[in-house]
Amino acid sequence: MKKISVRTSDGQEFELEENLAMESATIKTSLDAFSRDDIILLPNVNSWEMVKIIEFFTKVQELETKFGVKFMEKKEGRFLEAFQAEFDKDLSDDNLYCLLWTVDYLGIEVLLENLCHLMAERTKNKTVESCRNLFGVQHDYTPEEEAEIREDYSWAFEGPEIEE
Amino acid sequence: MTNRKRLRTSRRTATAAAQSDFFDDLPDDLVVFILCKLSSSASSPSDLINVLITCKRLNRFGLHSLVLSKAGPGAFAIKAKSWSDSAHRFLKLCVSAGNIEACYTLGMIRFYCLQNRGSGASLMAKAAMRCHTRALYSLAVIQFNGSGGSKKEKDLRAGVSLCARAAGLGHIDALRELGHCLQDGYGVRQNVSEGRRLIVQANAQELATVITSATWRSHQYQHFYACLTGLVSCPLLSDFGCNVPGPEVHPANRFMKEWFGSGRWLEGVGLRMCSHVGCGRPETRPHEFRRCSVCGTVNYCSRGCQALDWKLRHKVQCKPIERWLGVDGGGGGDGVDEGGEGENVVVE
Repeated sequence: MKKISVRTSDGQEFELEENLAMESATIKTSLDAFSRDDIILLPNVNSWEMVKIIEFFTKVQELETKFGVKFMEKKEGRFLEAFQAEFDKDLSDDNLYCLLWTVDYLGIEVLLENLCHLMAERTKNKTVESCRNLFGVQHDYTPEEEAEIREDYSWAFEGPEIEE
Repeated sequence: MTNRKRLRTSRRTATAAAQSDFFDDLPDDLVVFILCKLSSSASSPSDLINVLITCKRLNRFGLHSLVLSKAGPGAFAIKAKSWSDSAHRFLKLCVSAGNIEACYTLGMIRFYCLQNRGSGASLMAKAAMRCHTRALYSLAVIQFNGSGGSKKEKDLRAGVSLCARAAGLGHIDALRELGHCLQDGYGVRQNVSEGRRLIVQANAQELATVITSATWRSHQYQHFYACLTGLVSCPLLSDFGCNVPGPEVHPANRFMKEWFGSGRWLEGVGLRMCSHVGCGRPETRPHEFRRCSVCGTVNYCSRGCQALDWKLRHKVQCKPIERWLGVDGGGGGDGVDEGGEGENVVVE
């Protein structure tokens, strides 16, 4: 299996198997445009992000061997659970954002979908204020607007909001 | 997801110093994608609504038609006591976005709770046309019972045809219902062996679903193997199937259950509720549902509910009415022929 070399923004080099590298639409385009022997430069990717991505590919191959299903082709719920447990535990919210951006840039559809799912899971069972902190958004409603909107959606909440 | 090759102007570090930049830099379609994941896996409406209240940008994205169209049943798990115009508006918004779960849920609420039969049925039909199996089955139940109209408005053939469609898409109760219709020649030409085959198939599918689910435990394996080796009479061949945990109650059914409560005010107008705890359907005219012919104390909207309730609790509670009166009666729990309104078949 041919190996593709990539160089991240901080000068570190990584080797990826060709079939895994081709999962990234960006790398695939570069490979089609240039020779496969050249090192691909990824100025937008940090080395820790690359490590995470390689970890993901390794995990997927492990699960494919365990369950005997081509994960990339057929996405199944069980894989999502196994993946989440693995990735969720040591990934901070900020790192998750960075990784989301990077994976979107690289165009790895499968990993992007999983990361979005992880992000969605993190927004559940939180108060509105905690959601704001998670997304890092500014509260831009006036007190009257906020009161109106909370009143409008009061049917969705039962009793006081859950504290984290 | 379009490929983005723009260079980041600022290098990010893992510190939270510029946290507000992170989210703002996420492209719009990625935010919408995340919210789609949230709405489709939400276990309660608040999961999604919380996001709508955070800020104007997220409010706009959260109400994006793509996000609303992907909302799963959990997002519509509204509490009956919280029902309001704004809850109704939210459901209508999701219906306009093309969400068939919303069509089904609002259809059920309008038909049974708000008693707006025409609109309710039409919403369910909208979902049914896009292969929503519960909507197909619920419409079949309405046709079999002539719900919302008189006894004359029962359309058995329509009921059978809807059941067949739902069964073809994998709905187990519909398959069981269809099997009984074939056995009894109810709405379709009688074919006892085919009916029997479908009932056993439904039982097998039900068992298979439970086995492959994560909640299956080892002691149930022992029961299953005991069935296979004939140590216990095989429930797979019965009308009701194996003892499996009841399926999860759909938010629409839970809503109806809460709405009608104990059913006391319904009884005041001579109407009963389906005795199966997971159903919640009320009668729309007196004597619409069919009674257990053995004990006469419970009634069901459909055979699906009858089968589930038998397994979950009625099996141990059902006592022939003759015994209550102290009269020696024969024909204990044997099947009785389908009567008119108010009768039911109970087969052991």
